[in-house]
Amino acid sequence: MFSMEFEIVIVIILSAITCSIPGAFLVMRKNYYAADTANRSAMLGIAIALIFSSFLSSPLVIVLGSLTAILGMYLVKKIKGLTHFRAKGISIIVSSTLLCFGILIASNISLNNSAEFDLSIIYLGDTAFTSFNRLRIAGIDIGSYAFYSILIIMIINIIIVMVYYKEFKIDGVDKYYAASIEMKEETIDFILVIMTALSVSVSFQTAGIFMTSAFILGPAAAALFYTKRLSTLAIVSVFLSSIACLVGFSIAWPAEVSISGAIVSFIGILFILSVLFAPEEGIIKKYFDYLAEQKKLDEYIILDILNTQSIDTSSSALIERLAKSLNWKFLRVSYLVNKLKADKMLEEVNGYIYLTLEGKYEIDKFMKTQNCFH
Amino acid sequence: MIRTYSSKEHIEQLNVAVKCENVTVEYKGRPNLLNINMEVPSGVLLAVLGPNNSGKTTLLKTIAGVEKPTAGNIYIYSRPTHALKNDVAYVPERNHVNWDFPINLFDLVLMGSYNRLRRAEQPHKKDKIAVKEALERMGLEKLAKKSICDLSRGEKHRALIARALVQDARIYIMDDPMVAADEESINIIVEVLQELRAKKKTVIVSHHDFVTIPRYFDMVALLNVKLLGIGKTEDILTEENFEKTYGMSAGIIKNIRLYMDESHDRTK
Repeated sequence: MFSMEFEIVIVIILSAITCSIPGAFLVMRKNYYAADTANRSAMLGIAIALIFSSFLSSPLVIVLGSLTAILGMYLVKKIKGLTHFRAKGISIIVSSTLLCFGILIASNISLNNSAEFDLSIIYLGDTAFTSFNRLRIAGIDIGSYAFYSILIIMIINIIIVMVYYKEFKIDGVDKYYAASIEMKEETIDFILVIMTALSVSVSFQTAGIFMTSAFILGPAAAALFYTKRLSTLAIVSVFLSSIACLVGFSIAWPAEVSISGAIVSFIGILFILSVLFAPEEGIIKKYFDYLAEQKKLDEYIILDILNTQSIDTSSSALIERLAKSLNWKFLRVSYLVNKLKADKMLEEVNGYIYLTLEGKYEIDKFMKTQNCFH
Repeated sequence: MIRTYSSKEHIEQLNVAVKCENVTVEYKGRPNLLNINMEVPSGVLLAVLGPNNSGKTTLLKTIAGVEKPTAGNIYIYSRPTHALKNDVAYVPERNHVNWDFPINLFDLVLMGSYNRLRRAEQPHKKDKIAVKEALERMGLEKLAKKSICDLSRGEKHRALIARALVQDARIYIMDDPMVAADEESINIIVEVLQELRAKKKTVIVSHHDFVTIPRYFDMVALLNVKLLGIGKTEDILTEENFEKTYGMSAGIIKNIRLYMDESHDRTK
């Protein structure tokens, strides 16, 4: 129906969108390990399904993969409730065990059926293969199997979010309030588990076992640096994952390297760029904000001293005295005093420095906001 | 246990808002609450007092339906708690809320209307008007668009109470609504408590500041896993009761008594 490249790009983008929807809510709930648990646990179901079906986009793979992903997440929650272990530790043990069972089964299939089955596809994913399994109705090729399976799961995810948006929001902010209005945390947990499990299972062919977690969490985690609204977060995370897919594909396809590897690498780069350069929350902006605040505080320290202590010395002696008592360098104090003079907070009269009315107003206003409750 | 209502007949005339019947709540085999029996009349301001780990939060959560009792029953206006999600507005401790969640103050307060909405139903215009009114009442109208993670401690307390006001419930349960709040926030919260009482709402609050209890609350419940006393503030705040609850010397009570006498004289 479409060219192979176009079909692959569409499948990758749909897959990324499908994963980033539950990803946004997992990141919001700080439930990072769930994606990893689902991802590894799904391997068992996928391996079992591959005994009966030879391609990764088949419905059986998605159903069994989702079931074992749900089993993994359920076991982690249950064991956490019964023991004092942290969820992250339990997740590693449980999901690795299920993953290894899956690998054992998959290796066995690969050994007995080496001509048809490549184990590395499960581990690393290979989007190029998505075009090989076609869906035909009455003998007419209507597109790849992967396209339709991912599309269906994406639509399911979108419908779930539309129906349970309020519940996700309340449960993410205040679990006790949710319980007080009869909103069951278990229900929201279960819905999110189903969304994650389905998304993981359907994305195996594009991202593979080692990269699906990054596919789920990466865009949402990066999006958090750009917005403080849930609805915008979901949209930004879908946008970022689509960009990562397009860039990753355009690099990997001509170079004939792993498409999923290129995409996830780019998601990682996007995340690091967001951490560094996001306009409001990036650490560079925060560092400069901190420096500006510190500079402002330096000014207030000097204003406060001049407001509360009577220092009767000439301008240069004052700067020297302040530098000594504050344990600051002379140049620093001199710069600050000159800046305060330029800002009309201080004035020099007959070689003596005084606080102006503006300066007094400014320091009084500042002191009013500085109590331990703010 | 001490129960000091004005008279048995009087209490029977009052509508009972909350009734706890042999309520026990356990955690890992240890009781947080043990056989609590109490009745809270409608339209009163009740302070729940007790030392740390005495079960105050557990009692409030259980009445609000957040926790299920291991044994016993809780009735809200004579009906079991699970039958009445719209009758109780619960304000949790500030620290129990995920303030990093990416929503603004308006959206947080709007959540107060969610209990009236069906699944997938969006809030209506009247809900948004209620949010604006609640924000104005709590002095937060200018912060409506502010992200909840940027609010100060006092503003966070007020935001949670604003959300409860939007719920428009008959019973308000507040867990430490004034702890570590600034003076402006405390004043607004106290005013709102008085307004709720004037509207015949029942308010149950866990509180730590002994000195302000007589000024703010009609009734006091003393708790230390067991209910040690419930009744009118002046009858319950006795040296004997405090020693029983806190195991502390009676010095504090003397100060409170002194304060109560002074307030009484001022009102005269």
